[in-house]
Amino acid sequence: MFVKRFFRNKLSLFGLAIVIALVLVSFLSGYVQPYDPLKISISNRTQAPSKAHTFGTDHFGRDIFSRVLSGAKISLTVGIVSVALGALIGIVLGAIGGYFGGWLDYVITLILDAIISFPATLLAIGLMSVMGLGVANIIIALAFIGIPHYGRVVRGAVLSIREKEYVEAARASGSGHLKLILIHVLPNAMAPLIVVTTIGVANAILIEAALSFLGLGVPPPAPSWGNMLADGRNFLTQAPWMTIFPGLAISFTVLGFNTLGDGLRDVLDPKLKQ
Amino acid sequence: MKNYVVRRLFSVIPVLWLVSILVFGLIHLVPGDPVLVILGTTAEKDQVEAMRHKLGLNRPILVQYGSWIGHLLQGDLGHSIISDEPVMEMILRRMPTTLTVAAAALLLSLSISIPTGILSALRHNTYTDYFFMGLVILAVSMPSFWLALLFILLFSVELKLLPMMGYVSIFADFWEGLRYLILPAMSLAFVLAALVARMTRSSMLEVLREDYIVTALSKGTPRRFIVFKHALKNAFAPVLTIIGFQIGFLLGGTVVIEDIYSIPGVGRLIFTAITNRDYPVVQGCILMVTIIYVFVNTAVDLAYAYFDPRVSFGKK
Repeated sequence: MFVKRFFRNKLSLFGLAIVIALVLVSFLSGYVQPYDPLKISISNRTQAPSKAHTFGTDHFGRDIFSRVLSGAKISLTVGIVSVALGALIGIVLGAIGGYFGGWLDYVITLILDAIISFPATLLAIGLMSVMGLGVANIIIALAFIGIPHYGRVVRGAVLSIREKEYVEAARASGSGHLKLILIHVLPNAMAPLIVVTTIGVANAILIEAALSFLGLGVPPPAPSWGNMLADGRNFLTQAPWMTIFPGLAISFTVLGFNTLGDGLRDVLDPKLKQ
Repeated sequence: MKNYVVRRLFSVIPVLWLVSILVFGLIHLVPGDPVLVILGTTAEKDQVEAMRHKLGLNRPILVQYGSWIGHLLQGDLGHSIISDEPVMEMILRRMPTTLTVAAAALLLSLSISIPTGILSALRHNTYTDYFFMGLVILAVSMPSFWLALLFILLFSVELKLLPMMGYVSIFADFWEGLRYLILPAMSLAFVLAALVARMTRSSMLEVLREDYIVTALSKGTPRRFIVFKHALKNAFAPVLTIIGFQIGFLLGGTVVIEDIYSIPGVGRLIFTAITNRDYPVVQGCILMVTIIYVFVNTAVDLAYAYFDPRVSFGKK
């Protein structure tokens, strides 16, 4: 039923195709990239796109196509791992708050509200400025920013399910809190959670690109799309292809996750449709 | 209604208090000794002690926080490590610039998105609708800082129509200021316009299906009258929420855009401060922008109640 509806939705199929292609590219980037993405060749610097270099070369003569392919791995890793981490913490907090209610719920909600009160990019910039560069730190910063989004969804779902009769029945038959939450309550929160996490990956990739662009993310020479754009900015007039292609890669990836998320929302949560 | 307004305003206090703790805690996230990070490992011992004393890091953490929040409540955000200027003054001097850019982007995006959203809803499931919604999907996927670079490439480098970077206040010279404002505002407005257009469309579609609209139509009320008089006001509440939520995107995005176009606002201030490891300035900027964001959202919630009288003011 679900699968059938999903496959009838053209937009979500389109998104899924992009996401699968990206995952393949990032796993196989070592095999499919025509050049070593880190190899400097001064004689080849800022070459326009050609047969030999499909996307041209950058100011160090590195092949941009290879760098874009290899950047997929960084973007996807950061996007997916940070969302997984943030979602895990968010789920635990949201489930505890929603299930137990009372002052515990109040405190958890307050913490989630406080985190979400910061403009996301600004909080990411602040965290990275004190923690220092590096992929691990970006993941931590983005996971932290994501927590309230997942926490709120789970809390809401748990609240609406907590009083349902089948949960009452399970409670009456002696199920413990943990078992109740894991078996009866959480699975019912999955639909909105899947949608939020898919779109969360898109947002995480956008913020990572912004951080790396500002020099607060993935340190060079690693080919992150954001720091490729930062390089491109200095050669905007001489070598516009240094700016155009990494940006297209980001947009394409974000487009994939966004359309997949929108499609999943239509399929999993018909009430939210439109 | 009055009770609701008061309660909503009071609910901001615990959130802002936690926000202040997070911002205060930032400097303690610096790996190792923040003083050594600021001064470098080659600093003399008495220099290190003097800086530690200046930042108050030699006191117990609770005392540090107490003193920080005490000063904060009097509008004192501390002093810049580099220039020794009061951080609050540095921010207030640059805030109008940042708010001008953000406001210009907001105005531009609303003037594009609301008509587009209404048109898409009225032409639901036609090619016009598909075209605009396709555009929306594309627009929300593009990073605003990439658009900013492309706009520079197109409008400044190729067409030579608009300045590449720099800033002139529209309050000093309106027309010249406008020329400098167009590209930054456009870069930010694109994504925002897409989100608002999508929300306007879906909200209008929902309202247009309501019984009272159908009744009005069947009574022969002119369609234009129905759309603008009945539907729009009721459809506007959810749109307002999206706008409020996106102010955060706008304020965060402005920081990046200011860097690209060399606009002397709060964003540039943060960057210079990050490069100089001027932590009090970084903390102050983040705190002030967040406070603005929190109050904008509170105002949006209150306006929501105005636009949608069905919102219950009772205890939830």
